[in-house]
Amino acid sequence: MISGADISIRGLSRSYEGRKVLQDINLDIPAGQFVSILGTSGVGKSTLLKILAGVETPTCGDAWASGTKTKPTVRIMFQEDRLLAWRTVLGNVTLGLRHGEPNAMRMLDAVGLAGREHAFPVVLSGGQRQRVALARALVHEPNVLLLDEPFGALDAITRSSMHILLQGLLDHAPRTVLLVTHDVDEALILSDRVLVLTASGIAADITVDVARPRHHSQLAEKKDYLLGLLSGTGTTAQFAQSH
Amino acid sequence: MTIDVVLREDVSRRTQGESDSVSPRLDGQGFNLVQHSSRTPANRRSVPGVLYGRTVLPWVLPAMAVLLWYSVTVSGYVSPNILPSPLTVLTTAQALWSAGTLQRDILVSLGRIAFGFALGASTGFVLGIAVGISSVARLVFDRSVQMIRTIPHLALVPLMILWFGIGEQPKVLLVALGALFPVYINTASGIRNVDPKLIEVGRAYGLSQREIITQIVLPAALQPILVGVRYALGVAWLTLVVAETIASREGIGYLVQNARELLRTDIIILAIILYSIAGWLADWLIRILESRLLRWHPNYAPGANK
Ligand SMILES: Nc1ncnc2c1ncn2[C@@H]1O[C@H](COP(=O)(O)OP(=O)(O)OP(=O)(O)O)[C@@H](O)[C@H]1O
Ligand SMILES: [Mg+2]
Repeated sequence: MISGADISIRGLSRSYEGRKVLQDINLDIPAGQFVSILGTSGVGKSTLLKILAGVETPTCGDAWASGTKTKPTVRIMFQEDRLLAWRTVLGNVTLGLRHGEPNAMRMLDAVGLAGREHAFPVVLSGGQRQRVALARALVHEPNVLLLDEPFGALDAITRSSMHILLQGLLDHAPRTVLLVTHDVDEALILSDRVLVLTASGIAADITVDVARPRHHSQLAEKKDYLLGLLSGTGTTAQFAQSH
Repeated sequence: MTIDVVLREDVSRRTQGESDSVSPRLDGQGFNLVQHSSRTPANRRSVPGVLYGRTVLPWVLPAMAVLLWYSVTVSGYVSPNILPSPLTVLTTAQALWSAGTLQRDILVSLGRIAFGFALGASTGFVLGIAVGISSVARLVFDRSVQMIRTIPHLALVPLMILWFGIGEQPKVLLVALGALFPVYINTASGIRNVDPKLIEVGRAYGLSQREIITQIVLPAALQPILVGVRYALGVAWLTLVVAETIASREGIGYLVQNARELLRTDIIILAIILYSIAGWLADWLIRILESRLLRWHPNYAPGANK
């Protein structure tokens, strides 16, 4: 049984050439929690995930995963699919896997790409490429799974089947997930907790304690609140009152 | 060839359009999405016609050139001492072959090119990798290599002859020197131009430094490296011709040198033809290498117009 890892972020800041992108972020995520991050474009969501994945360094502060017996595995699905053009679909999914070909095949089957394992990425559609990238991250069974707008290029039907797939996999083997998305519905349907990131830090941190499977009608109020925050018109006061 | 491009795009669109709707299905071990794909038959052009055009068209101009050559000589328009007819050249080739000298000269030249090219290209490759991935190596080597590169290496021929005589070393070394720089430059710059985002993927997926180089950096830089190899082969041949013509006791260049003294235009022309066939074969080898190693690349995929 794969378990998640705890994530701790302390006083994390990152600037690029003096321009502050992330500023003094403090955050604790307990093992197994599914957290969605919303925020306007350019606010630093991808940067945050890359710092957690260890491919970007913070200007100051720290972020780490802990709580597993061995060093926690963290895998990121980047915002761009970043497939390696010279490797087949299967070759991309087995990147960095030691003995995982059967697992890779099963994962490709799960994301609906069975039969395409020997194709090169150049012949795939945008949505197919995204699903390969998703399989590549999932196949490692990481303790922390970082997903940067994973379903952006998918049609509504494939997208909701991907939601079902992801939830199924997580029920089967729970782990900590951070999902960056621009889709408020997606965030509310999938996660235990939703964060709104703004230039001045984490502007909202709400818990979604609605039992699954969820229905949109159960989430309408939270949705209005989050949309208000994102559009900057702010309905914070109303929300605070009603809760 | 606009028509070709349009047709190829049409084919690729069809393959991408393969229906890949996914529908969730619950089975024993959690969720499984089953794909219902209906394969559309590939949209093919009339293959025989295309094949015919592909194989025949490139030979039209060479055939016309030989025909022109033949008619000019047969008509007596040009003296056979200036330009012997194709038939004379063919007879000369047969004579030299049965005397056993032609084979020997060809083999000697091929050996020099193989040796020199392997030496130069591999040195350039290794040096290029070092300079491409390590900034220290870059600081140490790049300036010097670039400075040596500005010397036309053929200017070294007299010096080489003085140093090494007319044995094998000067020729092999000159060929190596000619092949080194194109491979070096393309390898180093190819590696430096690899998208850093792909290297990030390697780091995020737990690849070691060595795996990042072999599995990501080198494959990503392969196309420019092969361009360098191709160019290096051309330079290597050129170097060999010059080096052999100036100082040699065997090899195709020696054949030419000798023929000039004996006023045998037919042998000179034969040698030129041999050089061009060899160059063409080398290019063909590289093309095969490219289409194998770069078969994932849209421009090199089988059937691509290259
Ligand atoms: N390597 C870099 N060099 C300079 N600036 C960078 C770099 N990476 C990111 N930035 C800047 O940091 C800011 C945040 O980028 P980031 O990609 O994290 O945004 P984001 O919240 O993911 O946006 P989006 O929703 O559009 O994906 C942007 O203004 C971007 O220009
Ligand atoms: Mg982003």
